[in-house]
Amino acid sequence: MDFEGEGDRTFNQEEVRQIVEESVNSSLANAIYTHSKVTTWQATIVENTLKRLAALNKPFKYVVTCMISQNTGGATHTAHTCFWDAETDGFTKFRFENQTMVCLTTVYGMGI
Amino acid sequence: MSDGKTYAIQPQFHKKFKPMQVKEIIQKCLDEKLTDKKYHVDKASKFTRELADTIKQELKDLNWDRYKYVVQVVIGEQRGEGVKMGSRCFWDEETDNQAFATFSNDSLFATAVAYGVYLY
Repeated sequence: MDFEGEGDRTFNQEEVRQIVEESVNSSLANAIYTHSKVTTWQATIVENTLKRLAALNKPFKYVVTCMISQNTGGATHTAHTCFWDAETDGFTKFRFENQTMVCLTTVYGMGI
Repeated sequence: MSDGKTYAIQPQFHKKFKPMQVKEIIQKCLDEKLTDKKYHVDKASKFTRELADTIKQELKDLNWDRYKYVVQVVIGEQRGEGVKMGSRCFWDEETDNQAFATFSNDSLFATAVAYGVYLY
């Protein structure tokens, strides 16, 4: 298989985290949790992130998840487990929090 | 992943990721683990990890070749808060898929998602 940048077969955590952070901040900076807007925010964050990841043109498949919840002081626990090739695949997460809501975005990248 | 290059670009039909089957598996794992359980800060952390591992193991037991799996589990205290979870994926629609299930009772809510990605 010949891809440009054949050396980039490992998932680049820093670069992806940067992309996610920018997507989330552009949608949610200074926002207050509003039930009617949550669907739009979540869709925007995920689609923007995915578009920019696809534009990187790397030999990866991506899964982007975004969870937005109201900040009522209640706790949430998240766990994940992956069965993949540790040399090429990886994930990043970005947590955004303000007075009214918490947003956790994760990106999993799997090498082809 | 020890099986090198087989040049198989698609899974065989009977070994393809089947969302409905996986959804049932996830629902069963959630129900078995969490029915009649109350939310407790120390135990919740343990439950999420154990659930994720159980679901992953069940997926591996299905013996679908060349599939990579990602399983994500969220457990939260039930306070009537609004939670929205969503995902988008950049993959090959013919070979890759996802399944999810949710569970809730008076003191907690839980969601589990499993993604299956085929390795060419």
